[in-house]
Amino acid sequence: MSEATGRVVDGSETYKLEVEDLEKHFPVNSGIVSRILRGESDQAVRAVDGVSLGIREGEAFGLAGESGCGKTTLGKSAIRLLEPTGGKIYFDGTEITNASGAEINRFRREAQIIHQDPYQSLNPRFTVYEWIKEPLDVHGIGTAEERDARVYETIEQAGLKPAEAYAPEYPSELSGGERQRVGIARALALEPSFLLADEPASMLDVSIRASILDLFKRLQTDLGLTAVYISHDLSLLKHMCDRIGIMYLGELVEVAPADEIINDPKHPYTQALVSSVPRIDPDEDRERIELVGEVPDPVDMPSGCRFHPRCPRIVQPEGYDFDQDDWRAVVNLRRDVLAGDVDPEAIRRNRDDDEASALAIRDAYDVPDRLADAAADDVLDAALSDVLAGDSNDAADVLRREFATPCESGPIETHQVTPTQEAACVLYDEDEPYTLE
Amino acid sequence: MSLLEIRDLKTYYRADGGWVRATDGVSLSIDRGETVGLVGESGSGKTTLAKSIIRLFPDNAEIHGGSIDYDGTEITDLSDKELRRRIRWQEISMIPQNAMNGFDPVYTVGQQIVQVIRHHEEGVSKADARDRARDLFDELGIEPDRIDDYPHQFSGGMAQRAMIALALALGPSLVLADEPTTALDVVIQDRILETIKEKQAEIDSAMIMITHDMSVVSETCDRIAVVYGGRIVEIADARTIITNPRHPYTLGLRNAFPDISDDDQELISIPGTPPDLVDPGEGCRFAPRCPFAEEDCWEITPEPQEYEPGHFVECHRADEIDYLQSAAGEKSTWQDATTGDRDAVVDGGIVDTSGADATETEGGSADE
Amino acid sequence: MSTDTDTTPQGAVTGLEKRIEQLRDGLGVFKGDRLGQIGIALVLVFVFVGVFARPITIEFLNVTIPGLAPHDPNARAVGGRLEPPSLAHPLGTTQLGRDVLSQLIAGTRVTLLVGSLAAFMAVFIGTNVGLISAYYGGWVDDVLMRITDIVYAVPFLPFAIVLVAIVGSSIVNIIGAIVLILWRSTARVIRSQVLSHKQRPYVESAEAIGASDVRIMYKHILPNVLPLAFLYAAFAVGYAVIAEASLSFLGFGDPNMLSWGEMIFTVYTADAIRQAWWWVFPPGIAITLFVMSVFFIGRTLEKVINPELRHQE
Ligand code: SF4
Ligand code: SF4
Repeated sequence: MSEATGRVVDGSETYKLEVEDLEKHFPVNSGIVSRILRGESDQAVRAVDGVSLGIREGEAFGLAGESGCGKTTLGKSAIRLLEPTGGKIYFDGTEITNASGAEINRFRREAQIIHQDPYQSLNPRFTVYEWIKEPLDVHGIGTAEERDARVYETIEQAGLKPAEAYAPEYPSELSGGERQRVGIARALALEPSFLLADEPASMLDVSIRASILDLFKRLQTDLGLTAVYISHDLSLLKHMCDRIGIMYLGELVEVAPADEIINDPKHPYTQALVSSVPRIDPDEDRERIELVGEVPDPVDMPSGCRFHPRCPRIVQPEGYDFDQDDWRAVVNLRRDVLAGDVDPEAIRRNRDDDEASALAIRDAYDVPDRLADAAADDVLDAALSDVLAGDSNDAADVLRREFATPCESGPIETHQVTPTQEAACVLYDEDEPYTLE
Repeated sequence: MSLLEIRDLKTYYRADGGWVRATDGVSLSIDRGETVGLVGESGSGKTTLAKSIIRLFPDNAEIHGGSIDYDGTEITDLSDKELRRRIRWQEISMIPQNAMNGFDPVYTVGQQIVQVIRHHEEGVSKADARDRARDLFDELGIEPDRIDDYPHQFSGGMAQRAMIALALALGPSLVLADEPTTALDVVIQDRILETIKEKQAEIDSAMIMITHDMSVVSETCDRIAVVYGGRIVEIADARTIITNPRHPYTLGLRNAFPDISDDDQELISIPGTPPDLVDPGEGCRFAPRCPFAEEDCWEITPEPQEYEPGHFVECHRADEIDYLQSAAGEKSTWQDATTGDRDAVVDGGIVDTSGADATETEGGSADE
Repeated sequence: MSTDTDTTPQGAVTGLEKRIEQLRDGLGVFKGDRLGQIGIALVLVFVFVGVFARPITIEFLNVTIPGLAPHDPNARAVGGRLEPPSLAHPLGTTQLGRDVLSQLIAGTRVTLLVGSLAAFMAVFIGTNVGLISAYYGGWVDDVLMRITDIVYAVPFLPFAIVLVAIVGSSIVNIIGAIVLILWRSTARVIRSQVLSHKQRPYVESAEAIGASDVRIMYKHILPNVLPLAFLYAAFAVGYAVIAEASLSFLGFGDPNMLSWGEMIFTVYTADAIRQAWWWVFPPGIAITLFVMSVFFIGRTLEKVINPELRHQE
């Protein structure tokens, strides 16, 4: 994404936290041997790759996506718990990308994190009291008595009453829900203005999850906190958040108000994601959008739109008219031809055929025996003959040229789809004639 | 006649303080081809119940009573060896929560499937078993060539599929699925559940689906059993459990579960934690957390009552359905339950000593 | 690593109570573990003997606690030459007519001192190296771990002999030689533990509040790996005692310090090993017993800390 999501929408808006083209790449090899042998590692996992996003003052923002999409890395990089490898971070309008010393200290007081796992996120050697008091000690806040009072106050704020009963306990003596509250109390001790909650309820039982979520909601209203919730659970985010951002492979693909993004998602990936959430209501018939394949390896990113190898709505090549499902199937076949991965012999073997044939290849990729568009079918047929004749290069050239899609090339821009919804997908590019069904 | 008939089953764990009654008098019958969901919190005993059927529980667990009739065979009478040879895998198989743990890392996935097939079916050649494994892979949407891969070369979703292949390889009549998709992302979860349903219909096997996810059971199960404190507190067809439940705990679970289709849902949590199952005593086990508890609830253990055909509920007040349903939808109802003499209970933790009563800090950890 | 919890009456007091409770729970593991109990009992006996081996004079009180040793261990001819055990000399006498029992008792002190000092220092160094190496990672880790690898490649005895031969065989040098080798195993094990702790969210939580590296290392991570360090300390005491005995036996001991190893060395050089069994066995048995008892203790601790842990050295 080359444009700054959010900024375009409302340039006047003041952001609590804003990231611009934020990037966090993890080198794949970091051992000394490989460094000596190969120099600095050239490969990297692009966990967060150029994300721009503004979190508004006081809002509850949800970050969603499948595991490995980079949502947690984005969250942690944005509050400098991970050092970003590129981009800028602004907090309350001040750049903190490279802040250090007193400046970063001030920021640490303002932004706090709540972790997912209540069993691992408290130090087992600290009592509740010590754990909550530590931030006050670190920042040297107030007198001893004031700190003491503050500890008890935050314990109660987090809903643990009476505070005196909890203060001397070790985490091992508390239930999961209580530990999560202790984590929250610690985060609150410094009176921060921003909270990052990383899957704050996913390890808790359903019956108590709601009470923790309630606590967050109450804290946000009572203390005017801005919060970012990271979760894979769309139902939960919809319930908690004002706006939701969906990530796929290190990029933000759609940002919109919570209700809109769930009830009327725009980006094809969001559509697939929302469609795959099971519904409680037995009368509700959801339309399931099947995605091909799995999330690709983040080391080897697809070109153009990162979702294009799986996108059911991938844009058709100019001059041809496919049935969309057939087109998706053709794209899969084309991709393997380009990669030199189509082995007619293997297909024959798998199917127990006597001879390798174009029909068998089509069948293996769910491409119909004849495409509706005769011109397209001719192109495909020629390519498949080449493949059978062993000329995969020729086949690749033909397919690459004839069936090129805008989804696979160039940076994909973020478009304002509705006044509140934006999606990074060429389908919404108004200057281009890609039609929406 | 039903395929599986469990009567008054009791499975206890030996623990420091005595016996943990993880499953305490459960009756359940399952028909051929039917899918029954077991829902409940961790510690409710739902997993123990399912694992008791094929005795896949830790060494400190014991069946203390009751019977399990599987297609005319009394399973509790079988020796471990007989159970393993005659029942496990070929008749009743299991899809574990984490497929990676289900596979042996030193063998290829194919080798393990071949082994299972040949172990249970005499006279199958290696090549035939391999072909069947390849076919299974193909049907489950994994490239057949990948049977030669080792488990660690599989992604989580793929390993889960392979596990399903293994569980279904012998065409069992009953499949126990223990949170089969909890560790997976929604997109993959959706595909896996779909695959399980398809395959299940194809080989016409019954299934017990263990999960804490109301939406998953709602979509996949014919009937749902709500498990609490080692007992089935309510059982009915899926629609009834979701839209017309009678047990306060079921109502509570329903309210606590975020519904993606509900635009202004108010989530309501259930105060407290599951009961200590070491010595639950008399009375309704949900009483300490139940906003509708009355005098009787603390003293008399409710027996299952049939309200509509096939709809059994264990609650003294289940006939006040209209009141329960409307009151349970109010947040204040549940918050009030935490005031009064049990005010110190937050998420079921430390109880203020002055108000200490039936609520215990440690819930039965026997479940997961 | 000073905490300022003492400024906060209530929390601190209850915290302290909790700590004591925890400690008691920790000691509870010895309950029902026969070997562990035997280990503790024996070590206590050895420590007692070591401390009160020789007369202790407390100057300002002007009192002298008499030593346990009946004779001056270095006094010659308190008995005849190579006398077998008798009532006057329960463990007989040496070539020079010294009392073996007194030597054994006096040797306890030196042996224990060497063992515990060397072990403590080795574990101290090892723990810090492991902690720093794992916490900072990167080149710090590379450098420290390569050094550890190199030390791992050094065989103890030849190294110690060469070292002692160069710098002289004083007790300090011997302890130094032992420490220089012994820290390596602790460093490695602590490092791997710290690596796993470093990943835990509680450490990130400390980073998030702006805690300094030193604070995170020593206040957050260290207390969590300390039990393991204790375990290694227990084993290290055993190794150090064996190491000191080996060095002494080979003649590289401190000639002015009478240790059990030194005793055996003297028997050997006096060429009395075949006849004077009463002179050889006591120090030999003492070494075996002491090492065994610290290992018993270690074994018990090990069970608590990590049932799967296998210690290597
Ligand atoms: S850009 Fe193309 S491939 Fe990407 S989501 Fe939009 S339509 Fe699909
Ligand atoms: S029996 Fe009583 S306590 Fe139990 S669920 Fe029914 S109303 Fe609540």
